[in-house]
Amino acid sequence: MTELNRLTITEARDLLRKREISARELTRACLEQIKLVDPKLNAFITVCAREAHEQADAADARLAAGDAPALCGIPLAIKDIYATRGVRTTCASRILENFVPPYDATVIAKLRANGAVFVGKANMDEFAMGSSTENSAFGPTRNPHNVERVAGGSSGGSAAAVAADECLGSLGTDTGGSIREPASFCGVVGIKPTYSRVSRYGVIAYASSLDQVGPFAKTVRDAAIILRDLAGADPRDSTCSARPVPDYEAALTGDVKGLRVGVPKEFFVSGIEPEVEQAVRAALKSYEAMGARMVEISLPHTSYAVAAYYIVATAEASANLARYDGIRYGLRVDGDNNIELYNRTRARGFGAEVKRRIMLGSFVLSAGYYDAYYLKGQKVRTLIRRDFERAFESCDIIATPVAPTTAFALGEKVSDPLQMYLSDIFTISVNLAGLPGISVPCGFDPQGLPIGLQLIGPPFGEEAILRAGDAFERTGAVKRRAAIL
Amino acid sequence: MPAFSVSLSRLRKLSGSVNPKDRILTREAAVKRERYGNLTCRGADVTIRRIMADPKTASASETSKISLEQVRHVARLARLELDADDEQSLQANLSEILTYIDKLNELDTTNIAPTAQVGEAGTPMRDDVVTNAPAPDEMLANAPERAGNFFKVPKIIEG
Repeated sequence: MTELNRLTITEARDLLRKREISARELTRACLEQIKLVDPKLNAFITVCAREAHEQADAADARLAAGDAPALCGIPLAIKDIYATRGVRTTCASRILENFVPPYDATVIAKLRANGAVFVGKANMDEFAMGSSTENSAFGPTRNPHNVERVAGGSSGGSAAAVAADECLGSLGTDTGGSIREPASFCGVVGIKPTYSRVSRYGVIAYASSLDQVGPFAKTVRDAAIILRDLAGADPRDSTCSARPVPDYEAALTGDVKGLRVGVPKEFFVSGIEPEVEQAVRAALKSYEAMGARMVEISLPHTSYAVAAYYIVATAEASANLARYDGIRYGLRVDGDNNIELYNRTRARGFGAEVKRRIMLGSFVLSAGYYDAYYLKGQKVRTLIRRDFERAFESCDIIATPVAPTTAFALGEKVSDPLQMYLSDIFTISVNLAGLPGISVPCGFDPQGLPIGLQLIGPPFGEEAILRAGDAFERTGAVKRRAAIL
Repeated sequence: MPAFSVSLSRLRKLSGSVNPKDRILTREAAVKRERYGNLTCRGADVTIRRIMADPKTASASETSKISLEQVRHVARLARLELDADDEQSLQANLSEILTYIDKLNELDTTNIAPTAQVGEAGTPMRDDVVTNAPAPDEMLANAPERAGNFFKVPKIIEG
């Protein structure tokens, strides 16, 4: 069999268990694909060939012994925001360029225990701040469907790596759309679970009340398989929910009869690219054909979400990033005293967008501005949450576009931060409300760029959005297209 | 924004007259032309502008929401050394963003409680017990400078 790297996790899992393929050859196929296409894409900051082969051999031993969890022997890419013991973890920043964590993030430890193989650390916007992966200190990631286009961000490397078959699945993080937007731009599936569903321990913090861990995969079923391994309580993350973790794969019944799909009128006003709107509307039609019912809903505070987000997220970021001071780890630029050392280290270590957000966050928290900005942002966050609570009284899930456009050109928005922020207008409110959201491919524009459908669930409604996403995938309306490389 | 007027005037020279209504599009096109040489306009950018349009945003460049003095003060709080160019561009960026954020003032939030956290776990307590063994070499492995089992820093106390 050739091109093992093109397999889905579901297919590979079965072949591995039947011992028709080995984890070693599957891993080798992914590493060869990385060697072949990554010079064009730059989806990886660090490739872990030696470690991956060791993990694959260990997985083969477990598979041979008949002890094979779902992800045993499955090659995954890991966003370079996760602490990985002994493997450089940069967060795409000069300030952490040579940082080697002495510990694993909880989700990394869980995946390791289940025999997953890590082929490398994926590129991202520095400290997860961005929507295009152009803010990486290690150069931008390019879109596998058109290398002149961005991969989306901040988890652009993780999305592109899956789209280009450099791995079978990957991990990203989502603070304002950083899983769903790149999933949409690269034509793969991406889930942001409910806030607190997955442990954040060992995930380098950006905005702690919004950050959430989630997977990318080629199919909804594959994403469900990874999510099951990630979710669950963690004594090391006090915000992490103790709710039992359902078998997400078992939820994929294909049945959406009677499902009430909320369609927010605010998301379909002019401003969306016509091809994006058409593809999303066509997806809604196929839900109706499967027996689901469309319900018009209103999320009246949608247009305030981006503004509220850039207060709350930057305020939290300014506090979280205070730890990078050049003393205990990371870059140090010397100064005559410790204050000068901090000032210079941070000036040299952080990129422009990170500085911008630290400045904005420090400003909205500073004396005299706290009430006008930070408190106001938190109050508007309450209004946005209530919009969703009210909406879910009349529907089971909500369907929207993921982003107003398909992947934009490299360089198109770098000089205009506000424009860049607005590419997340449909995803940001979901983070502010702490809800689960999934991006499922629902079509292509005339230039062949993928379009994503966003399905939003109530808190802990992962099963509902996975079931709906899988049901749409089963219609076969959208065929997965190989990346053009 | 100085960078913007340079690109715009350069584009004017290249393409003759420019309709002021197309100012936003032109600015992006100018940036693209400078960087990539080929001019492709994406209608969506203009339409996103329209959907998110706020009359106040349009005047962002005329009235600054934050003074250079404030930029320097915040940079001191944030421990960031800025050069004159950084100060200028941050003043422009932050002004534009803060003007956009002002749209929140359209909402009356007098009796609305703020949301700080959306999790359901509350604030659980745990016993204060040591769970890891001391590993000074591991902990100091990433230190920019160490002396024995300590992180080395510049002299703080005079004398």
